[in-house]
Amino acid sequence: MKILLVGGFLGSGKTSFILKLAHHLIEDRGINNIVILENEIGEISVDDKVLKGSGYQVKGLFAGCVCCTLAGELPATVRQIERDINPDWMIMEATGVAFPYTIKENLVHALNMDCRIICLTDAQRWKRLYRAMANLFDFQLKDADVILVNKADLVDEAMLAEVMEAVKAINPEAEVVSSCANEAIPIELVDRIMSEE
Amino acid sequence: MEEKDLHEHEHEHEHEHEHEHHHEHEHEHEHHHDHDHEHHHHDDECGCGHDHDHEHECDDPNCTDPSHHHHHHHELVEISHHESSIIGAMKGVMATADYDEAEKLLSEQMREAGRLVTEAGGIIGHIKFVLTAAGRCGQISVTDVEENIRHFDGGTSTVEGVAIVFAVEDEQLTEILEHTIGSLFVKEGE
Repeated sequence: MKILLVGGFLGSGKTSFILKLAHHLIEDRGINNIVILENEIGEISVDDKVLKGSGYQVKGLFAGCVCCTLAGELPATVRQIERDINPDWMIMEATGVAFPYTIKENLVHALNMDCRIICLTDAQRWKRLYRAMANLFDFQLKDADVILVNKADLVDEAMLAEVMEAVKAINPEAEVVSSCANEAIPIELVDRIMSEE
Repeated sequence: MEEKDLHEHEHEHEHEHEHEHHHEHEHEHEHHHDHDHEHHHHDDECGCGHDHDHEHECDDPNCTDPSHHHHHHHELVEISHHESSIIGAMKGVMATADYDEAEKLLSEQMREAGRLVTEAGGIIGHIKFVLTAAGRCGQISVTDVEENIRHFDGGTSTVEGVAIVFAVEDEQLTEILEHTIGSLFVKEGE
């Protein structure tokens, strides 16, 4: 079971990315056994309805964050998914305030399962949000394998370059690429990180 | 409001976790859309049962007693917290079966809620609601700079969703959501 963890702040485009990725895996590659594990901090879930309504197999962990308050429930849920469904891919959408690296640590320590992390960040809102919540963004982007600076089409070149540079400074190890809603996802990059041992 | 780092919490990852949600509106409230507030003296003998750790200046022009506090009667909005975020969750039924009309009304009020959060000095994570009516479904997502509507397959006729914001008071978010999105909901008995 390949595990891809998709993180990033609220409104950065995580669900849209997952919809595109799942569509690509199923339609273009014939990989039908995919599970999306959706984590939402609110009592009322909203993204799982969109994912289920789009025809995907979705499991949910709600009213808490698997990087902290629901961390204890994550290993059991992942183990259950592996036992009951044994998907080829499990794509996990973290909450918009989660620190993905802690979820990865949890999976490694509790289940000896590794995963790859893709984080999205919103180029258009970067400056305002980072000014207010620098620590959150620093920890969100920490240890990500790939960072997609999303909504690149909504900012000018100078702003995009500034955001890319800031993101690279936070996580120099990550591959940082720009993306936007009307472009295909960088699937070669996803393939590369998912094939790494 | 001066912006500052709102997420100074240091994560400790020893996998010992506790639930941090604080539901401050679990007590029964009688909701008034016009936000009539019941005033009374809040002292040691106050038996109101409300978990009010805040007191408001009374906006009654005839009342000058700062020890008065307001009972905000809310039942539409469930407030919880996660780290520095404040989450207002709502669920309700709108008085129209026309999906397009409902989507237009809801998105307008979501934008208004976002505007009010920003005006109050807060930061919008996102305001995201799912609308289902007449066999059509849509997810509307609003931030301070954009609105996205995504349609998908679905069934009944309800509105449900959350506003996740930062740097406003619980009561502010509750009032904003009730005045905007909550104003679209049909009250019981209507």
